[in-house]
Amino acid sequence: MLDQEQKLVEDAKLNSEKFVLLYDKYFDQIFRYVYRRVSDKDAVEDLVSQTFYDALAHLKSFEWRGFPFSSWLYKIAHNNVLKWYRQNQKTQAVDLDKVHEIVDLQPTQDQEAMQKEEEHEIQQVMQQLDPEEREIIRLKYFEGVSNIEIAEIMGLSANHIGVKVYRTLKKAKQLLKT
Amino acid sequence: MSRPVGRYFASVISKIQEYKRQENIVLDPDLKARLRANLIAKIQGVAGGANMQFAAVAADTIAVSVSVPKTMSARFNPVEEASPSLAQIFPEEQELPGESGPVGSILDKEVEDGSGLNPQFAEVTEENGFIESFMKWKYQLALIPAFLLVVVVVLAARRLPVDFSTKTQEVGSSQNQQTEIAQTTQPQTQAQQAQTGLAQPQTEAQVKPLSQLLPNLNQGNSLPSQDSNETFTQNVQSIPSYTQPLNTPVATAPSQPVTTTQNQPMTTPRVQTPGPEVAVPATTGDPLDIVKINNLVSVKVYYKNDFTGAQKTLFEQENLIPLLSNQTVSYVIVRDGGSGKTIVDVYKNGGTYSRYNYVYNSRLNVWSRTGASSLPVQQAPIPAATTATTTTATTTTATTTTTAQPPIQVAPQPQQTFIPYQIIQGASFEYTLSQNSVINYTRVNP
Repeated sequence: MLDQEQKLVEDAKLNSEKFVLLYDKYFDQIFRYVYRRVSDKDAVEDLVSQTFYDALAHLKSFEWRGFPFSSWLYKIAHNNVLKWYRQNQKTQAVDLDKVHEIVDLQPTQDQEAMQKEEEHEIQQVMQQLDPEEREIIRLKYFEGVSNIEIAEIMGLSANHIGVKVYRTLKKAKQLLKT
Repeated sequence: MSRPVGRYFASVISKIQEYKRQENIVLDPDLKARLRANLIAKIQGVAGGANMQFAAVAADTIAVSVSVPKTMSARFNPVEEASPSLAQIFPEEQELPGESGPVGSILDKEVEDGSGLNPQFAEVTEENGFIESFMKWKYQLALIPAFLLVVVVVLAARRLPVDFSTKTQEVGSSQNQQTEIAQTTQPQTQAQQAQTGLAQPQTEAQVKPLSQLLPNLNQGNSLPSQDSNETFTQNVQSIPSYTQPLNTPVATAPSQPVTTTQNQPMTTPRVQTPGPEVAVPATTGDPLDIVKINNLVSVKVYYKNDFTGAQKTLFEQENLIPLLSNQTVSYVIVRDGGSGKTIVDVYKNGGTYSRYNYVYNSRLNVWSRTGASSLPVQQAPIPAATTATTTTATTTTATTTTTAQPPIQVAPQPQQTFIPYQIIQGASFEYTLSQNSVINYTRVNP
């Protein structure tokens, strides 16, 4: 799997037009990642496009080190989002706010009420986490990224991420209890 | 650590995962296709040997000059802002020098041993330091004979008894002949121009902008020896001319020499010709796309995201001025590539104006307003003549030259429906920007 991906990246380095294949492969992931972090639709569009454009512009400097190419894209997207927030001087929007609006489920009223309650709980918990903790939770449990890759994306050591995950979950558990 | 974490926090993790399952982020296939098409266009656009970073400049550069295509100006303008370095993309890398990430490591490696130039060296470096150093020395040693060879060739060339003087003389003589021919033909050309009414300066005006632009292009998008204020002043001076209702395009007025435009770079193309063909659609990458006036008093200035193709509002002002039927409002949008500012000036008949400064972040495609929204009352750039009634709007067109020539009145042309900044009761207009930030206008709803 990674070999195929590596080949794709190497091909794209030699021939820029092959980058489109990488775009096709990772667009959905990156879009979801940015969408969860930024509530403004236009901004999401801009940031996603900027992410791929940056990746294309700097593809030749990318060195394969055994991590998925998506880690690099996540990292670019992560930095772009941070810059966007810095630029717009906005407080970071709660990424899960809008989820219930687009959930396409047809539960019973009781189920719906329970789900809303749970959503509300999770939302509250996420709001009370630090931005870094929230980002780790997002990457780990929403994007399914491993600790080592999170470390790559966030520029921290893998051990540090492990500790952070533990502490964040502990904090979340306490918050859910209360 | 993972298993205990999984057990102990099972309830939390399950709740998060349940939440994730419930979320249904709808991906817009149109958006994906559009971005894909733009990406392909970008790739193909720079496939002709241009550096990818220059493509970023081309995408982000606000119009630098008037007569040079943006892609061309971009290639001559390696703007740092528009071609971000790796360090700009990954700011955390600088803050954490000990990081072992792929990009950081690439940078470190390139700085330390220069192996970034050749990835094969990087592999050798990791496995065997001796081989790496040997290879490096081998290549460096190989350069020495090459250098010596060059030195020998240069020295030999100096001593060769080649008689370049005769050839030079021949070339010089042919040049002289050409000069003589040119001198003999020049008076005739001038005489012909005098007869045909085409003044000599007009030819210069056509040639000079390019020659003026080329040195400026190497100065990082700076406009020629002018800051934004000066540019603005010149626009103010030139407003009366294109708000005066004229009936003929400039091209049909050969008696007006345009020599005065030579010293005013921003005003050289300030020529508006009537007709639907004048409403030039905004070029790709032009961030300021359309100025639209609805219901007489609302103004919107859009810009276009070059990459996504999406339009967004840069400047919006509703209920701007309670206009009378014979009043005039002008919008002048100046894009100063040097300062990076985009200035939207709003003029009203009574002499007030507002100025809006915007700075475009080329990396994030974001505009931010920096200047004061309202400035004190100043002399109105629009003369009283421009407040002429708009009932004859269908016969009026605008023209712009920097000389204060009286307007040439020509017989009305009923088929023309273009009005220079004249606001008519019950009509709305769509203004399209030309490359030089002068607004061409199209009446949308007569």
